[in-house]
Amino acid sequence: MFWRLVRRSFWQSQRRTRVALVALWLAAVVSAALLNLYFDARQKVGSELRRYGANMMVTPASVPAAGATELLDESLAADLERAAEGRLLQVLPFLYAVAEVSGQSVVLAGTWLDRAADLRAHAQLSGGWLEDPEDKERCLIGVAVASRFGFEPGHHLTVRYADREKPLQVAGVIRTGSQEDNAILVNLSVAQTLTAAPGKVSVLLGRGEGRPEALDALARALHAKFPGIVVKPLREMAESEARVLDRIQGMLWGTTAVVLLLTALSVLTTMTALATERRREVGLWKALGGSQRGITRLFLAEAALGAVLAGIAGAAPGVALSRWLGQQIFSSQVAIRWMTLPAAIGITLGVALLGTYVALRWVQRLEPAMILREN
Amino acid sequence: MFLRLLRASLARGRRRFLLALLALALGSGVAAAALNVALDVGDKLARELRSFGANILILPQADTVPVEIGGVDLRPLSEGSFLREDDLVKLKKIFWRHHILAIAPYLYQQARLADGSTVQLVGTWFAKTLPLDDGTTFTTGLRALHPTWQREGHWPGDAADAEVLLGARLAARLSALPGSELILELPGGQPTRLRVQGIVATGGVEDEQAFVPLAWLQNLTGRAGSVRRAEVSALVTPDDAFAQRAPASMTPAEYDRWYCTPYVSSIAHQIGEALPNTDVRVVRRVAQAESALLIRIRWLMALVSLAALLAAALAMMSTMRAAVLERRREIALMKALGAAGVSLTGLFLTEATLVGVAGGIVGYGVGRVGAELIARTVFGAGVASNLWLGAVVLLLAVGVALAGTLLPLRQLYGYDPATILKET
Repeated sequence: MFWRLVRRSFWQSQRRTRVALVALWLAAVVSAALLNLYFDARQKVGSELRRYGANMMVTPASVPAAGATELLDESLAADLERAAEGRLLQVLPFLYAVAEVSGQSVVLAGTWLDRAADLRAHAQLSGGWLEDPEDKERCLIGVAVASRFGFEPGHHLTVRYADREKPLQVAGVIRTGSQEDNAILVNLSVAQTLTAAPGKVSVLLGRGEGRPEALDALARALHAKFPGIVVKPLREMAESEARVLDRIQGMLWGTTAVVLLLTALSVLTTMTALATERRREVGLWKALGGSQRGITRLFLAEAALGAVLAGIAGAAPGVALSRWLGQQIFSSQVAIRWMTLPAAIGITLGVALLGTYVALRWVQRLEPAMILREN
Repeated sequence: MFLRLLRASLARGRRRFLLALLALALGSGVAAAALNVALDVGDKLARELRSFGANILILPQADTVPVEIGGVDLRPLSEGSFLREDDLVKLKKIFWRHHILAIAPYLYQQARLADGSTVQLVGTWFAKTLPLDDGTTFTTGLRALHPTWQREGHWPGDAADAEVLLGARLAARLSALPGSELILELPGGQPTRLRVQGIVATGGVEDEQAFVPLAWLQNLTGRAGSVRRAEVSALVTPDDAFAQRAPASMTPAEYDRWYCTPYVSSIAHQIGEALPNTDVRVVRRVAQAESALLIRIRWLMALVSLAALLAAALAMMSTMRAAVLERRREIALMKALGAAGVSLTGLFLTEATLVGVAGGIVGYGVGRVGAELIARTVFGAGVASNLWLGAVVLLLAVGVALAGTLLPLRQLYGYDPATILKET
């Protein structure tokens, strides 16, 4: 009996319910889109922050004696990445030496140039990059070095360190605005051969994921595993990142809540209007001896049915919308979080039930005779 | 007649009027708050992003190649050229002077410690107060450039006192604490005593360095008024396709536009004009990361404000719609009594406009308070008030009120008044 009533009132009052259904459907779309975007935004913005470069630095633990330099093993780069289990990425080794070119001191930096994607992304390059890690004859030079000595891509130069010399050809000139501008960049093995430090590096730079506390914990864990080294989060990076991310997330949280609130408000008014319009029905039901609880249940069941239908119909387009928006904003796909589908349906359901309940409370105060007479 | 009708209708429907007003005020208020914060957030985040360090570097021109590892120039002070410390105040005279948030000059010198190891002395400003032409002052230095540095103890002063801020690793090695003394020896100089004011932990190369007042290091090395380089933190607008173009290829009008936009490149260009014979470099890593991030955030905020506007409009429309539909019996009766459609519409629209204006004004006030609240919670600072935002909100409220009235009215006109009157 009850379900027949629900079914009939739901299908027969199509015109009236259409507006409510549209409002509920919009609520589902908006909440699904915003929730899905919200959960991914922190990670997306976080990956943008990676452009700022390394936030972890690895140096030898022991203090160098006067004049001497302590070095690390090159193989540590891979060992650390493995030990960190995905929490430390893009570890690059650097070997620095102060070499001489035409009698002047110039910093020679050796690294895995083929893997230095991050350096390559922000450097302005004229000429070519060193793609081959086995290329031992060519180098990249910073723009200050190029202008000082008049070097251009294709030119040859000789780097001298202690009593060893190495002829190199300039593959490209890079401009970064920071220390690379003053250096000669070569593949790591070239720098190791020249400084007679095979398999050694001065420093490792990497990118840790997580909040400053997580990075501290990671650094301690790695130090415990490799006692010979000190892993340090670059605090300025780590903390600025966490701060920026917190701000953005706070903003998104606030605005998402606002939009959901407004959507709820529109559903609420629509449901109130719907219930008010039906007060004659309520009066008749009451006059025929129907119980208060019966009406409440009928109306709530209708609202729930509508909300679930609208939620199911709206959640999927909402998630699709968030993916499209993610593509527009971050130029990368926003992952679908399946949790957002039930969450969006749940929000729609909650809003619909609340709206109906508030409306009913108002309608129930009316005496059946009053309503019936009024009409 | 019209005014009497209007007055009567407003007086009789006071509850309905207040309800519509409430919905409009709430809707436009929330939209105003969201918009206000979204408009302001770009600027706030741009400032926040400045904590990633300097984005412009000033070096002397006609220099030998700096021997630089980890951001520190290892050349002896007898080599290379210098910037004049006094010139740096000129940065606050350029067109975009208010966008120069921090300046820190650096002078480097190796020194020997008592145990024979070497230490990098970095002479800099900590919080130096520069007098400006307009009578105000500008306080800047390391503290302003690196607001996130964690420090134990105090900052050294900027007078030529023998004070030092030690890097954490260096301090641990020397077992130095704030208040203890450090003895070091400059090449060819006498042992000097320095008082340790504080200890700073950054995790980077700074942990091995000793920061001393610039004036002190200049006196000791006989390099009065000279600095090796200066780092500048400037508030910039994100680069777009226009900013990527070479200024030389622009028409005069384009050049003016570029010059008068705070792109990092145009600020660097203006610094170069103010300080001739310098090499002003844009730190591309920082500048590019900042640009990319700010553009993304602007999009995100634009989207969220749009969603807030739409949701507010929907909420207000549904209320107005309900208010009109509630009165359909009244409307039908008036029509049956021979009222012209035009005058009926006029009556309802005048009412809607009144509600819209009142709701918009109240909503703007509510929105200001809301925006202030959100900004204080998230950023710890208030938002700038935006008068044209008030106009937008007012227009929105009136527009939505009118649309929300007109649409259901038209729907009602479609019906025969007799049907409506009989139905009820």
